Amino acid sequence: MITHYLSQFDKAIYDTNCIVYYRFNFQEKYKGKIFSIFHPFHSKIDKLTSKILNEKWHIYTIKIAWEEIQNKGIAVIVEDLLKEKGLYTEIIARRLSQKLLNSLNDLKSKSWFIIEDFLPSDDRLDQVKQFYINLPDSSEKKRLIDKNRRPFPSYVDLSLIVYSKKIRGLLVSTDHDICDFKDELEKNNLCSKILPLWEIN
Amino acid sequence: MELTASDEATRTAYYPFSTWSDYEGEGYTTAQISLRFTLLNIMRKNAFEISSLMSRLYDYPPSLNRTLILGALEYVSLAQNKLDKIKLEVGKCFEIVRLIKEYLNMVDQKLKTEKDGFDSIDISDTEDIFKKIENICYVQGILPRINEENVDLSDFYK
Repeated sequence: MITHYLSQFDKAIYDTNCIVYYRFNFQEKYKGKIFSIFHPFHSKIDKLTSKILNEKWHIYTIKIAWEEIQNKGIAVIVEDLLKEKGLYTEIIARRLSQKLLNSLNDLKSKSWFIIEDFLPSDDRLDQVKQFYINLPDSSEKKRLIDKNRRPFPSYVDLSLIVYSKKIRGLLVSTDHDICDFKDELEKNNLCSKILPLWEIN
Repeated sequence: MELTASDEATRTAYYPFSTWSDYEGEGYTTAQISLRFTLLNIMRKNAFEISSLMSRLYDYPPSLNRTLILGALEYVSLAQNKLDKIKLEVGKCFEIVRLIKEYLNMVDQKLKTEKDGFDSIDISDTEDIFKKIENICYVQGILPRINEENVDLSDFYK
């Protein structure tokens, strides 16, 4: 699966969650015992990133996605994961969030990781919005509307879609708002290729 | 009530007690006992404020600012509880609970002024105060620092 994509592209775009999952892998101590805490998607994105870097690709994201990670993404993912594992306390959430923030700042300093100050033009944005609005009713569209309270994804997601087309990079995502409509988006030439992270073995 | 450095007897006294009967037969002066009750009073108000701020914060959607402040609030709550359990100079106790009070007031102001955009406001001033609290707690052996490397997470909840 990965090899197939590697032959077609020379750059990747990571969405907000993929960036956080890539860096979410820490060791902690509790009652003298060391344990690892990592996101379930960490091994998939880590594997993909290793292959991508071996191929000398660059990994891109956009500034508004990066800002969303810092303001909201870290907190949401840390809180959800700790609650799911029954490890949530406010102190542990703060500690892991700060570790993640430091780790992401380290990622920012890598020469192969590029954050571009990109904002889509109104025309492109409207084009993608209209695509979503005109999609036929389906359980996926219902989920999209329930989540966003409107028939199209967030501004950051729409921008990532437009950006992927602009730089012709492989858009790696775990977002259902993007991945559920992958085939239609690609067929309508609104984006580059989309790789749902869960498809990586 | 201000604690002065010249009040040697008060400055070197400890704070392990919380009721009048605890002091009976311990040879404390009325001034020392009064100081302890002043301290307890501030701690009680702080505890109420911590709980109120936490419940207000949970009404906000998740954000890094919210996570940082909630973590700090749990920390100061645990620090106050630890003061009940360890022997610490009353002067140090005052320093800690007053800093906590200052921190809580600042958080309260942030919440009052930023009802909607809490995720993007600057909280560096509240973080500075919290770092001071963390530092004293660390130096006095009350709690480890949250970001300390290799910290045993159970140490916060002993």
